[in-house]
Amino acid sequence: MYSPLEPINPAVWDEGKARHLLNRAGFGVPHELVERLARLEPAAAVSLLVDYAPEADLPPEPEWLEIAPEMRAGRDELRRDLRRMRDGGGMDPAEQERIQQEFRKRRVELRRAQRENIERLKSWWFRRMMETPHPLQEKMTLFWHGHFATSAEKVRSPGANYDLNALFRAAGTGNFKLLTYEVCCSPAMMLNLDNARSRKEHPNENWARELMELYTLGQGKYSEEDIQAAARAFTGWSTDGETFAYRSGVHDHGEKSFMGHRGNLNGNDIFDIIFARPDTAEFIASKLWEFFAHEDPEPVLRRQLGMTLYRAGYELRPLLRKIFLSRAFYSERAMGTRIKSPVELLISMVDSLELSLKDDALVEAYLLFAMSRMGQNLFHAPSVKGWPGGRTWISAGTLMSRYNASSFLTQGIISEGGPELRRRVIRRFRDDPAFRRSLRQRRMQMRRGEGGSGMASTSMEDESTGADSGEGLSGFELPLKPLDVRQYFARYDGNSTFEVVEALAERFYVLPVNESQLREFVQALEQDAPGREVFHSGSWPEKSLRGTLHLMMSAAEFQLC
Amino acid sequence: MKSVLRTRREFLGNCALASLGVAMPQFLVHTVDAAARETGWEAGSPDPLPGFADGRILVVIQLGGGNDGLNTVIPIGDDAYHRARPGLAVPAGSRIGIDDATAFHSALHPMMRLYENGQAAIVEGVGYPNPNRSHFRSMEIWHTASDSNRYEREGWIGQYFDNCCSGAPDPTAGIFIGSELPQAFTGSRGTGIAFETPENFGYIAAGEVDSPERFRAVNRTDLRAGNESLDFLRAVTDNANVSADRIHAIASRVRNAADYPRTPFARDLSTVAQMIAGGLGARIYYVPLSGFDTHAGQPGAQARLLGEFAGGVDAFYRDLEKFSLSDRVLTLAFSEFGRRVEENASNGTDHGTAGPLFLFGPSVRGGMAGRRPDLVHLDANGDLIFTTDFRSVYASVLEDWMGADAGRVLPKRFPKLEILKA
Repeated sequence: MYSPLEPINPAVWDEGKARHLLNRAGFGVPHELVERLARLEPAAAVSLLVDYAPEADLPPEPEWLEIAPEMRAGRDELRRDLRRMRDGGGMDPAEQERIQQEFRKRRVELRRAQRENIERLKSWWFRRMMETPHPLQEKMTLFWHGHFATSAEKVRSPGANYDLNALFRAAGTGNFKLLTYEVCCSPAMMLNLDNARSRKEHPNENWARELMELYTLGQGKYSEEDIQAAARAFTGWSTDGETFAYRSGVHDHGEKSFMGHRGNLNGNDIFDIIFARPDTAEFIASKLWEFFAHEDPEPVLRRQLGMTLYRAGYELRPLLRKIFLSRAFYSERAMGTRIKSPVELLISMVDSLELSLKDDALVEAYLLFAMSRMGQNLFHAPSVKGWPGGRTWISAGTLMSRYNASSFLTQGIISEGGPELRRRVIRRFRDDPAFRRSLRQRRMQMRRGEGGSGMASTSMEDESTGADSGEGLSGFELPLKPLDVRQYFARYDGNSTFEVVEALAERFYVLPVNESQLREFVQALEQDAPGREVFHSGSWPEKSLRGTLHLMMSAAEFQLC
Repeated sequence: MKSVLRTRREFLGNCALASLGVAMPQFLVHTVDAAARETGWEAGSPDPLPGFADGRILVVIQLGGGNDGLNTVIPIGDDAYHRARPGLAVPAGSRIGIDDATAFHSALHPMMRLYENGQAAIVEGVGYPNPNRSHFRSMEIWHTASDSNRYEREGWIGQYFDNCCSGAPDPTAGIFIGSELPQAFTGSRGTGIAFETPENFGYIAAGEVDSPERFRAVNRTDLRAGNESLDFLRAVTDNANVSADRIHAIASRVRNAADYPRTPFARDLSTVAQMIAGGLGARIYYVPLSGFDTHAGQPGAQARLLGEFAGGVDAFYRDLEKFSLSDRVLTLAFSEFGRRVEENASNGTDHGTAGPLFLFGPSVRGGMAGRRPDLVHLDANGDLIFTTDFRSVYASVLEDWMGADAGRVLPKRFPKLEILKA
């Protein structure tokens, strides 16, 4: 029996462990980095990932982020007119109607602009995750994004969403108590959990409850009275939309009793009391362990993790260093057992295929769509509990989406049919005669009921009205493929097909595969190229190359890291 | 709870499938012959596998956007209605008279066959305490059945599958016609499949190289087990493949027996009818129809949508009747809130609170139900005060239709309604 958090023996440090560390502390595994880390001592390798300067290389705020101020001002002016109308009266009914309609129009425009910017923000962040010089910084940003979960359905301002994301990036490996405090005061969280409107006559318990239940202590460590007292203590903590604003007039200055402490407690006191409890350290440290290492750590391990964080005064780096250096992190229970989250999966596909997404808006649009289909719509947490991860990512439907997603990157096939994605595809390729021909053929097939249910597809109506909804695009193959497959396979020229497949398996999976699986891959590669002893990418049938990649990424092993 | 690793293929030996009286797809025959094997499902157990023991099905229709209940089920005898809606009150020519106090919007006329046959019920004033007028939040409340000041992650349908159904989880026990499973299905056993069309669901191969056969061969569940996560993934893959096979087989084999209107909603219901007639065995289907957020230009928009809704439901039940399956299917149609009593200045209405809820099916106790909300004594915002908590409707459906214990799904006990015929 060893202590699980005891550091790994440097003698057993190797490429496999370096790769595991990179997969968990980051998103994908550039091969040069694996070799580099494998050559270092474990402590130095971990330090390379953990000890980056937090202020360095922070991306600047995107210029397109803020909605044109005139849009918001225009809407606000109309809102003022409306209020005057309601309170004072004496306005001509026709004028009233005009103002109402104008207001409504402005609001719709503003909302659309906000939604578009949130979509861009998703893209922006996805790219950052792929291209960041500091993988752990983005991985922790993702972790906090799920821990302090908010939704753009409620918090519409792109600026507020961005600010919270930027906070996670800058402070995500700093001090947990300070981070929680900053999150509390962020407009995004203030709005998401309604504390912005909490006042002494009517304290809102939302923030108080989630602070304790979800963010610090976990269920069962506080009473309903504690929630009520905390809610009173946080009254007046609000926002003007841009920044924190304290409204003393609505703050409850009365005496409160919270977890055995009595007095005119305010939000700061609540923080101090909560964080003085080692339970808080244990809760978050265990959650970090589950995110990085494996699920269900034993009570002994939870306590040790908690103590590590508590003794460091809630500084996160000592805990992270300890986790990444521990024997338990490299145990059989941890290695190769984590189900990749959708974003990790897609990035691992892009990395494995060495795709450069520099100019490909379509590919990016597809990846974000696929991510959402798999259950991870960034900035849109499905509930305040965020994304629990692990096996909850997997259902029959989401798993099929994962297998089909690699078909787009390897073969250019659109496997799912979301309307937004279809619209983008149509927009992108509408002037391509080959595309239009293929689409027409496909629609005729569907009308004839080939491979379909026999019901007339609404694409018929769409064609007659000219509106193109992209119906019938499922399974459709794009003329332009994201991957230059011959270039990708060129490095394997001269090998046997078996060696090619083995090398790909080594590249794609962290677990060894079966003989029978390898045989399937070889047969796939040799499809339409029977009897060829030596692999040569330049003359190999393209469908066999692409299909093999898709098949290999559709093995369950690819879902794990 | 049984191990999730027991795959659907293994428990398909459940002979109750045959009891639905529908011919089984050929490829399942060999699996059923192996039914002598222990499957993990005990006949007569108190919590039957969904869809099998009693053969009952629930279809949930979600009218998204907040349907204006007052112009749907119209309180024609109430002066307050006409005073509040000088422009927007439904004129006599656009109404179907029911009695002195009530009329329906004439766009619902396709539904009248069901209503007149006592197979449609309308519960008025359905809502919940401390209503929320945000689409997102109110829909979340309806999906999670939570109180409006609580946030839950799991949905009521997910809770039903998790807590009221035993045996190995069958992903096709719940079907959503659309691209992503809604929160109502969120649970811990991954029950539920979403597809827009049956062809959409499952592994899509480009050709012979990455064929479905090869795909299954590389994911065989009897391969040397690497670790528990890998075993889990392979089991779910296997389940998904079996489900996809069944769904595709039904889609290509079964033709709808009635004519449906040419609307996307009707097409979705026709898919549901196909799956039911084909014996998929799903317990719950969920179909969305959105667009009801009529802040402006309400008359035209609402008429079109109500027509799409009623036309679809009518065709759906005609279809089921031709298959002699209609008495097995109960349909519930709801909206996340009703709208304000007063019209706005844009010939529309803004977000409100309580509204009518529809129930369809031969087993339903037809007619008007619940209590009409008061149009004069409104809440502090000037909106209707609900008279029936929607959780009461869920409780009635869960217990009286599906034989489940609502206490295992809902946060507390709610008084039930008499929704079924005696």
